[in-house]
Amino acid sequence: MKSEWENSMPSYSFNVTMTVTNSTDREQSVSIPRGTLIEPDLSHLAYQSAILVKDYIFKLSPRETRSVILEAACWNQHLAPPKGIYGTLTPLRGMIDETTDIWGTSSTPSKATVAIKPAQNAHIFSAFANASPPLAYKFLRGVASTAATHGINVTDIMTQLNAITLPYTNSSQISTIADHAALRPYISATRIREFFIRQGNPANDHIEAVIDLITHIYILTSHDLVTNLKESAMKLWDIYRDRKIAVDDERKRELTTIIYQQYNAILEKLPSLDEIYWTS
Amino acid sequence: MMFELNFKIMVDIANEDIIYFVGDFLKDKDHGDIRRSHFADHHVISCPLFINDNQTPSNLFRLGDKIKQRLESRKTSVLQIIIGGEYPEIEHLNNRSGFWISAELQRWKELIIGDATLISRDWSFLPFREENNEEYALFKPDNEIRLLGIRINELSRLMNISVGLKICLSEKYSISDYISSAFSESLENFYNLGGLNVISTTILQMNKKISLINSYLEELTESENLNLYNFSAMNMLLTDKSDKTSIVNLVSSGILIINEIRMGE
Repeated sequence: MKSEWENSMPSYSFNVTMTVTNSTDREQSVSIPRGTLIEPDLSHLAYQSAILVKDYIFKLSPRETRSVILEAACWNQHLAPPKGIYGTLTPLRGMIDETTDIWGTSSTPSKATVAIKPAQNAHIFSAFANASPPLAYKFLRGVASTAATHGINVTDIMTQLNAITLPYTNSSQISTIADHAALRPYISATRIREFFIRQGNPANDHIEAVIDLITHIYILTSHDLVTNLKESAMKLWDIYRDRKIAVDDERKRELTTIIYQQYNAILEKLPSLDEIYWTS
Repeated sequence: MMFELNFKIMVDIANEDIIYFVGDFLKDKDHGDIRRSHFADHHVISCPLFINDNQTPSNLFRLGDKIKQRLESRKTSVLQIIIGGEYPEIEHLNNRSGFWISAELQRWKELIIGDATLISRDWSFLPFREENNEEYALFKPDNEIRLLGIRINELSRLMNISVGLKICLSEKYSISDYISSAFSESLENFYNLGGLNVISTTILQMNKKISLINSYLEELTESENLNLYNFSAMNMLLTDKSDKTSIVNLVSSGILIINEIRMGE
């Protein structure tokens, strides 16, 4: 549970007046949920959008027109408070169900946001490095060692890898090292699959890395093979999320078994990515 | 000779753990009491550092970069690192994210002058290292952005996965062109409703670039880096189309007509 201190970000309140008409000949139940966002029109973008702070439920008689007053708070911390300007209903809701920290919610991206860098080469390793720099680093060290056993001189590569200190690894650094011609034959989706298999039963880091890896690839390529993988990753994500909120130990064990199955099924399909022609 | 340096980390979330975490990180450094406070509605961790007179600023920036990376691996965003002095003006903080160096460190100012920007008489600014232009891909607001927009919002809708695309907006196009290309299709099933305006202000404020709202419809005079977030990353949800009593669906289907909305009356 968040402390009072964490929840103390202020936001100020104002009213929104909405006039609606039931255009039908039957009674109509109407719900307006907490979190609904109402925006100013385009010529008043320097004013705050409004977020409703309560749920509203009411009924309109056939053909009835009614004005309702809705309690709102400001969504944009640094814009001007609206004073009688026209607004437009949006189909969007701010996720404030479990917080009073409205400005914290509207000013900071969700904690789990995955940064996608279309600037990087659309190579499987770049996607892996963006998804999980520490695991990609570990993979790359393994690749360099394998190359060395095949008689390839990887001294410079190892020096560059040794200069990187975990956990400060950044994806651009390791992607640059992976781009070395001597390593290219050893970097493929098949090899990444083998790396994950060698890790044994997947920890949360591994599961999240595989889901993020597919997410990155899905956004950057429209290939059918990836669409197929994305659907598998979606299933894994759903089960993984269910396990996080499961309270019963038996249920958790059951979900863990399903997670392993789904995770392994994705790893089985991973080599198909080697059939994609990657452009830079 | 040692002197005490005010070192403040502004973060989005702070709890008791973070104090211990920062303390543990600085255990090899000579520092005073680590405290948390608020400034401009943000959480601040203050760590007074006792440093040697001949310390170069680059060591401290490296330390700041490491703390930032370490905190971000724990899902805490570092918004600013303020070195010396009290605080820069709020409007400056709202539009940039990086290191702020107080003018009281005059000697340092000379050392970092090549990289830092003088923001006011009292403060110089240096962006965080990973704000690297090479990470942002240049796009025009064309079909490619439209497709990327559809994909990132599909991940939001189907999997609640939060995604931010690092893109560089091209000059000669407006921010409005980009937001419209990326989001119009995700909103097109909702008739008679808005959405693009609140998406625009939310994306700009999450990028600490809310001042760009003043020229939102104008052609950019220079390229601009932007994280283009999907709904989930913006902490937003699209209304479920199956909810029969939702005002959004009633208006979208023409059952309800909104005559007028007045805000702030």
